[in-house]
Amino acid sequence: MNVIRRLWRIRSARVGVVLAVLLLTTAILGPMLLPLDPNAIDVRARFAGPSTAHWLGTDDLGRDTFTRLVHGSRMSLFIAALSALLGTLLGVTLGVITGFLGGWVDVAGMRVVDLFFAIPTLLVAIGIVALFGPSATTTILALGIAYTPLYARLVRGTVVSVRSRTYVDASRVLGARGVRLLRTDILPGIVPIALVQTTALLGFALVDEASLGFLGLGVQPPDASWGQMINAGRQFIFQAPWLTLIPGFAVILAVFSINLIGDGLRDALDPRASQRVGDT
Amino acid sequence: MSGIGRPLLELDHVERMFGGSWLGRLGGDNVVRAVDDVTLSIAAGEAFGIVGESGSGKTTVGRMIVRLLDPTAGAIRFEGQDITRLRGGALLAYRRSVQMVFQNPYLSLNPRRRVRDMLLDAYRIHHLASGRDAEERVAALMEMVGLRRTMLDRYPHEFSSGQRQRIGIARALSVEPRLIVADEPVSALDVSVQAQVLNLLRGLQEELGLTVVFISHDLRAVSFLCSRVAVLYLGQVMEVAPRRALVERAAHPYTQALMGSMPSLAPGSGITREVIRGDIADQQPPPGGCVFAPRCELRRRLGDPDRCLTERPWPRELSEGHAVACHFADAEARPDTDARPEATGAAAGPTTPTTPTMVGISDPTRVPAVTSTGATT
Repeated sequence: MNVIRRLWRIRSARVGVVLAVLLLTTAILGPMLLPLDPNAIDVRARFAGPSTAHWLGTDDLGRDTFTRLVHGSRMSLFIAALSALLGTLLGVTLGVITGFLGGWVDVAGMRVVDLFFAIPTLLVAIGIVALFGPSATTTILALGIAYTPLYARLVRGTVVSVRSRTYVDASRVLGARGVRLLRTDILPGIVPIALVQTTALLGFALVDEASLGFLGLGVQPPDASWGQMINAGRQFIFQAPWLTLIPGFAVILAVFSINLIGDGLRDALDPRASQRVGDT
Repeated sequence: MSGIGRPLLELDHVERMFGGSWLGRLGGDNVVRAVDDVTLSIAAGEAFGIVGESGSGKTTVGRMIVRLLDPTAGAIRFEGQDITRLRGGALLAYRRSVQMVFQNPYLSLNPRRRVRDMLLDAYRIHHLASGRDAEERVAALMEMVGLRRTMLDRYPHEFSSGQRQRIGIARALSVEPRLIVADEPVSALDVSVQAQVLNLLRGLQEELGLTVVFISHDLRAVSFLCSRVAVLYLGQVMEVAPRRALVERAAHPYTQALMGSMPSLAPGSGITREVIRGDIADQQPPPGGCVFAPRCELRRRLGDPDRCLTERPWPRELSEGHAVACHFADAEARPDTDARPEATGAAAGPTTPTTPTMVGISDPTRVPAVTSTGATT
């Protein structure tokens, strides 16, 4: 693919991709390779500092921080990916329907979106968690729904602009309409923007998962996620600051990697950049 | 083929307004009347030109013919059937008959689709062909417009502007239409390739017996391609004439000015030319009068007669197939008399109306009305 090659040519994006691959590999393979049980309690080794037995020390219950971090990465990345995906699916669907159909569907859809816009994203998510009770599934649902309005508005705007392009007129004159027109001319036109936006959502979702976890509204103990670990470590922040700092650093690293990729994608998909390549 | 035959396409008092919600219209918000009571008829097999500067409504006319826009009043008839209310299957059938070539070939081709897919669209949409048959037809289309079939797998950005416009023409031809609306098909192209594309269009028009509505601001291109020409100004038809008549004895002061803006290579033609003062949007035309009056050189020479401001000049026939919407268009022949209308009556009145479809006037009630008022003045 052209875009991937162009992305790889951007140095910062390359760093992001390498980081992301590392993180993903850790999340997928790590739990299988690590010998320790992330939930194994060892009261004799509470708040232990880094050692050969516990690379990153232990928490208040003597659980191995590194093992929990790796297991938690799986949970955090999984939640982030699924909520970004859910937000994308809902946002694109709503945006395409309102933007393409126009008329009263558009007006009604956008008023609902405006309503959601009045409330901060995280507050929407908290509200949904409050309705269904905290769990990993609820976190995904809550974040996915909370991201939908912004995404829908973005997609709607793009669809409205693509819809008025001359090549869409040309297809209409040929007799294309409805689903065919969407498939051939309109959806391909929103792919670049959707790619960038979904990448950005991944970053938001990682932070928001941590925030929900910090508030105790995310993944519930004893399961580990980065947010849940930050929350658990908070009480001991003066005795054992690494318990919050290490998962916090993991979140920063993951978000950093995703933002690098997002910025790179934006450049790689820039129509002016592709025009330059196309013209030569 | 000088327009003889029954009309393929008729525009019957077509009007298109833009802007203004019903609320704004109540408050007298500025509603633009892009096309204002245009009546034209185009015969099968004819190449018909529509000329006008930007803002004249020529593009709007084209878009209404291909049903990208709907008129706010009037009828557009294709083979006698009003197409402005077609829906569903009937509209789809109409789309097989009428196609469009767009102005800018950089905008009219989807940059993310291969030429093959764009050309196959027509066969898929109308279920005309599939598989090897469709492939063969697409390849034939490419050759018809002077491209190679090996280019089918390329993307638009791999072509030059002229080649792109050829692809646009191939796409229009893919449904084997009877009528093609070409909206400024060469004005976005380099001058060096304009002629090639014009030649291609003319060749195809003759070879396939196509009816072409050629919309342009470029009188040279229009007179190269078209046998009859309509001149539009602010949404109204100023003059309709066969090409020769238009070139040799343009009657409307606006057409004369347009002609004057065209460089001539004829020896001794010199540089005597009418200059149009001001811009098309500069002066608000008088409501109810002639839209060209504020910029009209003829009116100035005649001493600014009031009639131009109070009465809209409807097209009247000067000679066969030559109609002009001006009260005083033939007054110049006798500059001493102050536009005596007897000649007008003689030209349009007693002559039995020849095929009205050719003249470009299909509402008989309006022509006599004009002549009679002319006779009583």
